[in-house]
Amino acid sequence: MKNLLPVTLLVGLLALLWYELFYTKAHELPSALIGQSVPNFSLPSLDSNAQFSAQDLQQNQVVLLNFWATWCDACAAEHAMLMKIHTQYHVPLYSILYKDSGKNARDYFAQYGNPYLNTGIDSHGNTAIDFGIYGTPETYVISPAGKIVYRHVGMIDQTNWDKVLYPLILRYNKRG
Amino acid sequence: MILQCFKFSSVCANIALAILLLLLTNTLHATTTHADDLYPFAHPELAQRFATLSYETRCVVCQNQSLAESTAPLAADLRGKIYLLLLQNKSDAEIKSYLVERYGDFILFKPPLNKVTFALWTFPIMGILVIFILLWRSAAGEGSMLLTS
Repeated sequence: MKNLLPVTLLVGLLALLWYELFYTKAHELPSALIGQSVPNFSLPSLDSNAQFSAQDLQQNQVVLLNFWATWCDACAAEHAMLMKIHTQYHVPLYSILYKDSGKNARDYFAQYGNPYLNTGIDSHGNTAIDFGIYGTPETYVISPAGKIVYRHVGMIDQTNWDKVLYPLILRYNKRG
Repeated sequence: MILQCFKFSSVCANIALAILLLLLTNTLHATTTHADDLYPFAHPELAQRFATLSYETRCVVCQNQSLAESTAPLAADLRGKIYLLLLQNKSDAEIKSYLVERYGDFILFKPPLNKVTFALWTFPIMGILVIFILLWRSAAGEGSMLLTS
């Protein structure tokens, strides 16, 4: 009975260590911007002469903002799923082209299709830093109130779309 | 024969010395041009602050390296951002706050004490206290047993 406390403490510490070592995903850090408004930005739009800005993302429904580049292999692998989100799920999808040129993006869309309603060209990656991104692809879920509610790091596939993203979008759309 | 061998070793030594000098010059040149070309500062104090800030912040891509050490493209971008902010006369606290607002406390190798990091900072002290209490209680128990016996 006397030794119960130290043994419990030791077991607890080992369990914590085990969990941290094998179950936490060190590269999936929560965004520091969760619950905050979309950072202010204004970028040249790929689709029009107007600027693509933070105000464009504030709508009466959930929108997705995807950071991508034509040189990014994971983004190419994700593209089919983004097309599906655009054509089948009808969730408004916007993008920021990270450290890439508009010409590359236009050629890419001509070949594979354009799932985005608008794309801003972030040639130097400054807007990406304002969003705290650390790689492409990354996708932000923006609530109807214009707040960032979730960040998805890496590719969106059918599994994480069904399990995490789509239920979250439906929930926030229902809340309004 | 001995003379030839001696001559040969002398030539070898000269070549080795030349290679060593060449490497040394190249290394020195590389380090000075790296600092001079990429992040030129008018004052050495700013260069020192830049170096300190880069070593105190974590590369979020390769998480065990500082921004100064990392070769990741994002680390280079963030070093560039720190450089620009220093040129805009921002203080160290403002620059750290800029990075924390975007990447969270995780970007600092030495996170501040707040409600999230409270357990992290207090755990060692609490642990030592618990050990002392346990040792004290156990010693007190043995002492009272000796007295009663």
